[in-house]
Amino acid sequence: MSNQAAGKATMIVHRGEELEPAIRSALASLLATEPSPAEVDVALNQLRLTRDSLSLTFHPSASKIAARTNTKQWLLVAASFLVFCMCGIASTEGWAQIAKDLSAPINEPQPLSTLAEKTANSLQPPNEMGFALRLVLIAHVTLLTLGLSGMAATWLIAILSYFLEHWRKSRENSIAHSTQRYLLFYSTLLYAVGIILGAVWAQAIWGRLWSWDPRETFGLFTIAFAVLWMRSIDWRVQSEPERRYHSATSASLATIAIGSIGLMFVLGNRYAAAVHSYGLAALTLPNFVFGLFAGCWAAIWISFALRTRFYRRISKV
Amino acid sequence: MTWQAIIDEHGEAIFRVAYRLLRSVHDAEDVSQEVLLEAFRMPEMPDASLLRRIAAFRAIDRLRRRVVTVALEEDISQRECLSTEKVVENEENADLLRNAIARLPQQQSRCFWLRYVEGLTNQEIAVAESISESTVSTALCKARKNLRRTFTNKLESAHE
Repeated sequence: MSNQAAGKATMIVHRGEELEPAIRSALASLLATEPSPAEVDVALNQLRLTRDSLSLTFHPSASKIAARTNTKQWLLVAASFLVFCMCGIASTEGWAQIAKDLSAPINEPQPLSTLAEKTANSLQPPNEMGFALRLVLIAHVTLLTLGLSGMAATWLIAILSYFLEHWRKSRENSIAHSTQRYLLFYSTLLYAVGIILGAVWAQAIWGRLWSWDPRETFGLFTIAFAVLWMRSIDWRVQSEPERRYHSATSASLATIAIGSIGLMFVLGNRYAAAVHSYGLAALTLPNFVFGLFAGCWAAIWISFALRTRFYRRISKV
Repeated sequence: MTWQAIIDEHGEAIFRVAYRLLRSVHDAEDVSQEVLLEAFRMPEMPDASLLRRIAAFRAIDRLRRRVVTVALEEDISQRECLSTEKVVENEENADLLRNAIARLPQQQSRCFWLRYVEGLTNQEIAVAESISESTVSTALCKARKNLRRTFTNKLESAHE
């Protein structure tokens, strides 16, 4: 023990007369723990570099952390909102159709919105599909889109954090890591709920919960990949000696995962047969891009809103 | 005051406090960053002792999170290449205390730190934490009891 540490130890002994000797000596040796001078230098240099990098994080409270870099963040949010609105306006026809379907009297025959039209026509007269079931169908499609876009957003964050680290020598990684974790968690949750709602709808309309049709099967694989991805983020971080987040590893894992999920999506649509053949006509490129973008945008903000103790409790298990 | 100046003046002290509690360079860096940013946001620059205190509290918070996710035994096993037995024993005791502090309720761990490390009186702690003096003494009493229990359990299991 150095002189300095011994001095500290006497100080503690003096202050903590009422402590047990064992606790007192433990406290003294805790206070004698010192970093090496080289470690201090490295840390101080890192700290000097950190401030600039905090401006472009995806953390919901980033505006609180870096009070002076609010402008960039608001620009980012405003720009994305603008594009979102433009996409929304561009697809007003679709929204109008949905609004019409929802407000239509149930017994009067009405064409359903594009996605459900074919199914409804081929399998069931539209007037027999109740209002609640229409809602379930719409929620099914919306939740699946949200889930997939959330996964895409997670991949984007992983890639961005990698490039940010290399271009700007920044260190916002712990934030990028936690954002990825909860975004992916909620996307998978939404996706799973979407599939369950689909099953509920199918039970009512087709008379069976699950029919192992290609789209359903590949959807199941998608969940499996998402769960594996989620676990791989945690395993990777826990197996590092210093439990540090590695942006390169994370970005490559994310790319592999999103690649597999994308493949599942493409295969699911390519071989979509029999019961799931509807909706392919509606899957044009602009629709797909809008869905993905709107979904990304919504998924990010919904997951910020839902980031609660509940998630933390689950993620610790 | 600029960012660089703050780091030059307070960075090292804050880093050392965090390092003592966390014994990991990266975690200590993260905590220092949090504390410095927090200080930077305040309307007035806090003095050195307050900064040290904030650093200790943030480090304890992080310690608490770490105890839940990762067992501290891993950290101990990494350090066992140290030369003498005495040093290893000291390190183990320190880790035991880290673990025990992290398991204390927040108020107790804070009062413990302020009383026995920062050397404040009960009255000063009451002012700093905006609680009543009797709450401080109760918290300290409970903290001592909890720590004592942890240490006796540990020592007994070591003898067996």
